[in-house]
Amino acid sequence: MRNYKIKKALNFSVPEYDAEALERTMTFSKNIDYGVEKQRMTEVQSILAQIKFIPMKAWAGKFAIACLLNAGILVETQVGNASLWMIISICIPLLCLTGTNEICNIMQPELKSLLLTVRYSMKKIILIRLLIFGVIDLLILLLTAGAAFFADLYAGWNDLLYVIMLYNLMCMGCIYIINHIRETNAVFACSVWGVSLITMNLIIKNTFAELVAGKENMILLLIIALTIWRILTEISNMLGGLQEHEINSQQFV
Amino acid sequence: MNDRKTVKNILTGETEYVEVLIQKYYGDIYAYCYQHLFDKHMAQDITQETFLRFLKNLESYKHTGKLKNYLYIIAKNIIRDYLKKQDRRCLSYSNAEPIVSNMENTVLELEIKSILDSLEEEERELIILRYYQDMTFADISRIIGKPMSTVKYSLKKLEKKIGDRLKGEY
Repeated sequence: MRNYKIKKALNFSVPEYDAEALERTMTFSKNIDYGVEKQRMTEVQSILAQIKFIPMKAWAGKFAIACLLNAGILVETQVGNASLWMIISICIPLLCLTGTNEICNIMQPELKSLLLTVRYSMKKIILIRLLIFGVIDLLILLLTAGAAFFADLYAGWNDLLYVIMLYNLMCMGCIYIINHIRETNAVFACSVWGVSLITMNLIIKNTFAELVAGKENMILLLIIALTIWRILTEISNMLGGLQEHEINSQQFV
Repeated sequence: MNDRKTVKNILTGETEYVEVLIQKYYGDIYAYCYQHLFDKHMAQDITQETFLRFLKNLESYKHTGKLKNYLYIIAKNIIRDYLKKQDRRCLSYSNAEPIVSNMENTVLELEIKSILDSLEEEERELIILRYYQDMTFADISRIIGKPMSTVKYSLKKLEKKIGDRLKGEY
């Protein structure tokens, strides 16, 4: 229990504080960052956060294709039955297709409206995912090229350029399809494009060198340049369309 | 609005709640600082520093007890640092210019100052929190970081000591 006599004896009055002192404290307090800025993610953090949203099956698909490509190299060195090119022809479009599936999923109308309400803009999500898949595919291709090089299966620049061309053609086709068929059957259309490319490749590859007669690298480089230009144009169109969509949705919210 | 919600609002960017928080506790923290320092301007400066330090580290604040107690702890640490820098004791009233100007200059009040001056730092803290800030034993024990039984025992001893000092007035 409090001793009231002591309380009374020790009592003294505290002078009123200056109103300016309180104002000054409030003014200084306005210059502080209250977590919002600090909580905002850096670009690297947002990329890492997006990785978590890519489903396991996409990673598993890419991993399986990487294994298949390297198994093909191993078989080729051990048995030498010239099946490597067939494996590459099948795997490269499939490698692209595993990522395409995820991009198609984001572009679904019902999911798009949901994504517009979350932390990132659609534009950023698409760009981050394209970047992630691009980097992963590049690593897989580099790993395969490295393995082929060490297994003495590397025939020259034209092999490497041919693989890049194949991958670019697949990417270009898929992005074009996603851009123009924004419906649930976009994945199916991409798969059809992939199968067509595999078939065309299997037919053409053997006669390709004969057809171009010594100008192989030149033609491959030209196709690669054209596909890169087309991919960039399609990505730009895709992001431009999304921006309009976001502005429209914000106007109605 | 409770303090937990106020802090949450500030962290989500609603900075108008900063003013609400400062206005709510400015007077109490200022009084606490003044009771330690007996210097109005210094008390105002330390009160300001207390709030700014709290707000700068708001992200790490965990609302487990009373926010006011947390502010007292910050103020206590700033006062301690200030006094260390000044190389003087907490209630060294010998250079008593601000005290005399802010308090009624009666014999009794001068005696109060000298009584507080004679106490150890922790004893003074106990008296300020209990008799000037009207805090419960539980809150005092949280602020000074000692068990409630120790707080009770120490205060009882202090009351006797101060009573003796007041020449058996009560």
